[in-house]
Amino acid sequence: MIRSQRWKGAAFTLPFQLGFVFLYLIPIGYAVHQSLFREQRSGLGLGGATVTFAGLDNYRHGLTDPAFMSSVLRVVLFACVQIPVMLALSLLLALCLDALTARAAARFRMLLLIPYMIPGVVAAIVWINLYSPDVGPLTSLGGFFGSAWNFFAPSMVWPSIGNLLTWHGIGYNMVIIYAALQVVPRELFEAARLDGASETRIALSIKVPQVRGALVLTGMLSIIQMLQIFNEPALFRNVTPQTVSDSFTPIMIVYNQAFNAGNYHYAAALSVLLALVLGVASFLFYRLTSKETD
Amino acid sequence: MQGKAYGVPTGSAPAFTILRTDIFRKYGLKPPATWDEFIAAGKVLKKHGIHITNYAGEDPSTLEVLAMQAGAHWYAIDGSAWRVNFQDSGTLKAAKVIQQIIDSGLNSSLSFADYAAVQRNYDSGRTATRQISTWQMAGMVQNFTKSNGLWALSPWPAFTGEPAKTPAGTNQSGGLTLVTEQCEHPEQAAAAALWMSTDTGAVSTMASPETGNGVMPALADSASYAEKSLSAKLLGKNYRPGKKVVTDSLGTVTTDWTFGPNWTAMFTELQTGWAKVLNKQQKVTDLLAHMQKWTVADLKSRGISVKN
Repeated sequence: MIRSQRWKGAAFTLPFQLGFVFLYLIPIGYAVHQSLFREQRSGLGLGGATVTFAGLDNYRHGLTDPAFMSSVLRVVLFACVQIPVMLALSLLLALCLDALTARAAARFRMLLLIPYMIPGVVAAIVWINLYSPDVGPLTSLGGFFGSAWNFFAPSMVWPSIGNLLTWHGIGYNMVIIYAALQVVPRELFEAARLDGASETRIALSIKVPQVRGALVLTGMLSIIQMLQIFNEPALFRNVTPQTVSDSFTPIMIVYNQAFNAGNYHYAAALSVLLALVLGVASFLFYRLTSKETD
Repeated sequence: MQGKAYGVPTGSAPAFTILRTDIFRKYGLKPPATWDEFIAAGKVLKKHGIHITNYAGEDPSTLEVLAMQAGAHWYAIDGSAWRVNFQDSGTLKAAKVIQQIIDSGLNSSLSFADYAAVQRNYDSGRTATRQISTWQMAGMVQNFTKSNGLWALSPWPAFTGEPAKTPAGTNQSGGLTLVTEQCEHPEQAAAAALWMSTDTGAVSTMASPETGNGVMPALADSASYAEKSLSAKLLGKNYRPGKKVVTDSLGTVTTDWTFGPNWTAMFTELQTGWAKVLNKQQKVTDLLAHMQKWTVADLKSRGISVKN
């Protein structure tokens, strides 16, 4: 009886299991399988290619490919700057919302979520138009205040993309942090107020430590997202191709290898490597940040 | 069909120059017949803060088409192997023209990603000419507000002392409609493709820059569509003479250019280097030397035979 109940219980997870197998395990398995082969052409290269087993050659090539390694490093460094800034702003906004009445908070929450509802590619195109030194308003606005910034200048690529990502991601992260704030027991604030704590003190000493879990979660999601950044740099490549090379970020290399160079097998190997990097980074981040709360 | 792929060509891309007659008249310039005259005119315009052409950082096809016109062969089939040459006399001749334009600062460099800025730049007369084909004029017709009627066509500049020759379509223009083997109704699909490319009504619609996209049909009587592919709104009273420019350019198209088997990968590599050339981080000849080495190595890594 217990056994049959167990199966019944498990049957409820069937939709998830099916999705997991078909949408995750099989594609990943296929990518791993593809990454072990190599395409060889011969003669003029106009006939079909022969596919031969390559073992781990594609992985060896990827690990020694300076372009791939530097693209990972580039994105990690950028993540170290952009993610803390974005999360700090999201936290600040969530704290402000928390201080408002529930009705006002609901209204602002909606407004702040609007950027997140815009697809990433569209957001990038909108910002490219805003940044444009010729038709965008920002450069002339800057000129009015005495410094006409060229957002397309090579040195401005990261700040320009960072601003775009922060604008795009702030609302989403704020909602998660705000939801975490809502479940903090209100008695704690009351007790603190009776003890004479200011609102700032309450925010820093009670609210922020209580939403640590939400910050870890949003931080991890942001890292995962950042290592896979593609749309924004791919569009910025058009405006400063001398800085944003075709191998600027790991996914751009994968894309370029698969769809421009036609090296599907190498692209598969790089994808698997990137997934491993992501797994390790997420694991380390989770470990480092959750230890102290134990 | 019998192991070979056949396609129905959808269009060709006659090439010519489109220029601002008001600006050229104001500074006493004639439409440049050669690249030397083009550079000389560019230097005059520069004194008045006007660029003669726009080079987009992501688009090295300028180098490709000038090399093509100068008789270069980046890829050639030699027996059962490829011969790669990015440094032949044709390419170097093209490189010299481009390098002079960049070194003298005669070009604007707006990206097509910033499309509104590109069109406004032409519309407001900050860049005075464009090397162009019929299909590219649709964007001008649809976006200009100030300069309609001020544009005129002139033949694609020749290399000094050489007869007129125009580049063939690049990988970004011209085209074929192919029916794949997996297609469920291949005969019907092929008939549709043929209709699209040959039916007078269909090709006229596509040829117009207003209803279509200025696609010049690839037919024996292509020339008779020259008029349809032009816009009277854009060219004003220069509309009629424009027809002859288009018709003439159809007769001088380069026909011996070969696209290599790693063209797409090569072009991506060329883009990055081209942007550095425009940014004066390297010379065109540095880029060509790099492309030579890179292309040979890339072909070899795919197992393709290269003879050099």
